[in-house]
Amino acid sequence: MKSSILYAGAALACALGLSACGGGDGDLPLTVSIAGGVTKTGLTLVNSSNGDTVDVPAGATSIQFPKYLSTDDEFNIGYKTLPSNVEKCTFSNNKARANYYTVYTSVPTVFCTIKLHPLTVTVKGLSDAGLVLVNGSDRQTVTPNGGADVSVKMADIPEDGPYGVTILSQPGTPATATTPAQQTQTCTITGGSGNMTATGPGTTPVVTCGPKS
Amino acid sequence: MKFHLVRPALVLASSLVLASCGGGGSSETYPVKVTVANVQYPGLVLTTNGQELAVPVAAKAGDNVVLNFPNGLDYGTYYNVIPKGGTATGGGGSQPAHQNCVTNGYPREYGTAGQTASLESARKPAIEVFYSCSVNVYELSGTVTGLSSADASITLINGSNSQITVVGNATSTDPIKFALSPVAYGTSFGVTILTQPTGYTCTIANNTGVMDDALEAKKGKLDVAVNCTKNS
Repeated sequence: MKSSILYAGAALACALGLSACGGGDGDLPLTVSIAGGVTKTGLTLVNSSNGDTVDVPAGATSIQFPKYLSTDDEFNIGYKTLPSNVEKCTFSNNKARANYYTVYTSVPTVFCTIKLHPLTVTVKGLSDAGLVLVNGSDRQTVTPNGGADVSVKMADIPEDGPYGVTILSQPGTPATATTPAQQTQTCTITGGSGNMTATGPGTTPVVTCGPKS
Repeated sequence: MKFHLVRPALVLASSLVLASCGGGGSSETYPVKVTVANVQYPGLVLTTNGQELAVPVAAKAGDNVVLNFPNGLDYGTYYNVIPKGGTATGGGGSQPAHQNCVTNGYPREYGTAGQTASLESARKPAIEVFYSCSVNVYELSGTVTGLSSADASITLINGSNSQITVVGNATSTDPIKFALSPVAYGTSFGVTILTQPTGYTCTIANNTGVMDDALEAKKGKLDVAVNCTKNS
């Protein structure tokens, strides 16, 4: 009789003990919001408090750790590995004790920044001012260097992202209120479009200028 | 007997106190202070209570424009600061050229003078209203012709800004419409072919420019032309 009471008591104490120390069988999901910058696989997040890890697929906006947490379990989210095109990832709300507020309201968030690489366009044969190159919204006016090659540095391009350089205006004088634009040279571009790789642009953009055609 | 005298005296005293702190004086009004972010072009006129306030361009790019309506409002007066002829949340009406300004939402652009304390100072209570302006964006679109196979697709990009893949159409020779992300007024664009379709060679025209007044009048650059021919 006594022993069966003791046994029950021990079982109860055991159960209480387990729930108190959060053996990973709680009911709070640990979700991380992906605020941006994850364009390819390779990001593995880790909850260093319990060793749980999760792989983030490309383009995911949120990811949940496999293990659930109990109230008051500590969590501390960081990364184990980064995608190859990511410069760094920053976290917010990533270290706390689990409760309704810390897992549902102030959701842990990670934001990654993509590596940037320079894009340089070589301009050959340019003698006159007025040449303007654009890569979408990035606009660069080219200053001639007496006919010598000019290296035009465009805004940096994110790794794995595309670029497409075109000629916005040809060398010459721009139009005014009274006179139309006077084009003095004709430039063409080759290799203007491509993708930025880890080792640089996938093409070699070259602008070649000659007499007006 | 004594108590009867004390009570009316207290009532009188308290009502005097109320009057003195209640801003009952005719000179005390609540200035209507407006803060507008990102005003890049002239033309914004805000109104409330029959007053108009022309909001100038920020002296330095990125600065907020902060100014007051000509007259303050009496305690309890309802106000609603909106663009003249427009709405608070949708904008419209007298907006800056090439821009649209809308309320930040909170603090509310409407309310009752004296209802909420000023963020700035309890001593100089003001009605504070916040607006933010964004530069208008316009369509960047066009057509692909000659891409007559559903297995062929072409990827077009506007520099590093936006990208779209257009799939061919085997059942119709109508030009295939496409649109890249809209482009803000004053911003350049240059559409290029990132990847040619398998079995076709495509060229592109009308593909570079700046979203200027002429294009704004047409609601955007709508005639980017991609022409594809089947490789022989």
